Amino acid sequence: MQIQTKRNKHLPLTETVYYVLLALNEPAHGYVIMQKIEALSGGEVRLAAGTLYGAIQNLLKQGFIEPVVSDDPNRKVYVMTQEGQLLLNLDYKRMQKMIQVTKEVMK
Amino acid sequence: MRVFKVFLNFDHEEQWLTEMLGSGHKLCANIFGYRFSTAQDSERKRCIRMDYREFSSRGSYNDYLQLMEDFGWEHICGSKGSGKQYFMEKAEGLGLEKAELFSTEESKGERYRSLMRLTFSMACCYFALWLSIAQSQGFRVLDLFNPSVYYFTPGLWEMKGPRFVGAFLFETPFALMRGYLWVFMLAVTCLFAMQALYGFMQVRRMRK
Repeated sequence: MQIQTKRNKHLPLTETVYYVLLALNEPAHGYVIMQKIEALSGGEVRLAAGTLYGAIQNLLKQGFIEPVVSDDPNRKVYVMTQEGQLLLNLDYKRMQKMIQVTKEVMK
Repeated sequence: MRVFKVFLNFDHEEQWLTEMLGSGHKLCANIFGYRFSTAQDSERKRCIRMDYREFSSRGSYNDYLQLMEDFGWEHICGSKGSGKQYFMEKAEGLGLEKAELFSTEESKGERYRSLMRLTFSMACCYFALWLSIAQSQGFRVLDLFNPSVYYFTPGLWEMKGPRFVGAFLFETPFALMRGYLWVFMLAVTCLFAMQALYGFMQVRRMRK
């Protein structure tokens, strides 16, 4: 049996969710989010339209991102909330720990 | 051109519509059967992809369509509450090897979750309608093979010649409604239930 103490139920994040949160460190709309993720990942992660839209809707519902006012009336602009930052940070630490133990084992 | 066809699997539907586009028939409506218009030559080699979503407001629907458009997808069929949304590539290839609406298997499968939700509630609505109509008729299944009981005009069957034809034709639409509406409701219920069940099976397969 796995014993998980106070583990956040949203962890681990999927690659899509992690990158969307990271990209929304600053306000951006859908297409810009995709471009930022492509640049951040060195062209490795290229999100398709439906996948990105679904991820945005889920994150909105869970309160990890929120819409902000913008001067573009046709495109909604989003930014990461404090809860989102917290979650991103938790997953970052989780991965850091994994990398650390992997290094120790594979030495 | 109008074609009646039922698809449960999104991939098969996309494939068929893309083939239709290749042969010059571009989907323009899917309310009662698939309806096609003539495709331009430049559109024939493009592909058609589907999403399944429902929207609560006009604003969020427009926002969705704008995002799709930014990514190079032209919305060709679907409405705010239709569930199925059909998109065509704005240009051939889009600079990718193969244009897709989804880049992960999970998000691709999510479509079936929404399909299951929406079609299940539709099936419930039509089932309730069927039940109330069928009950008001006392579930008389055998009457279906004896449609004369659905004609209420007094003395109809004793009439002769043009008088009979006139009265008969006049009442036929009402008789059909009276007699066969509940069969139609049952068929629609089954259609929705089938889609919901297929969606449920796909969702379960995803979880494994």
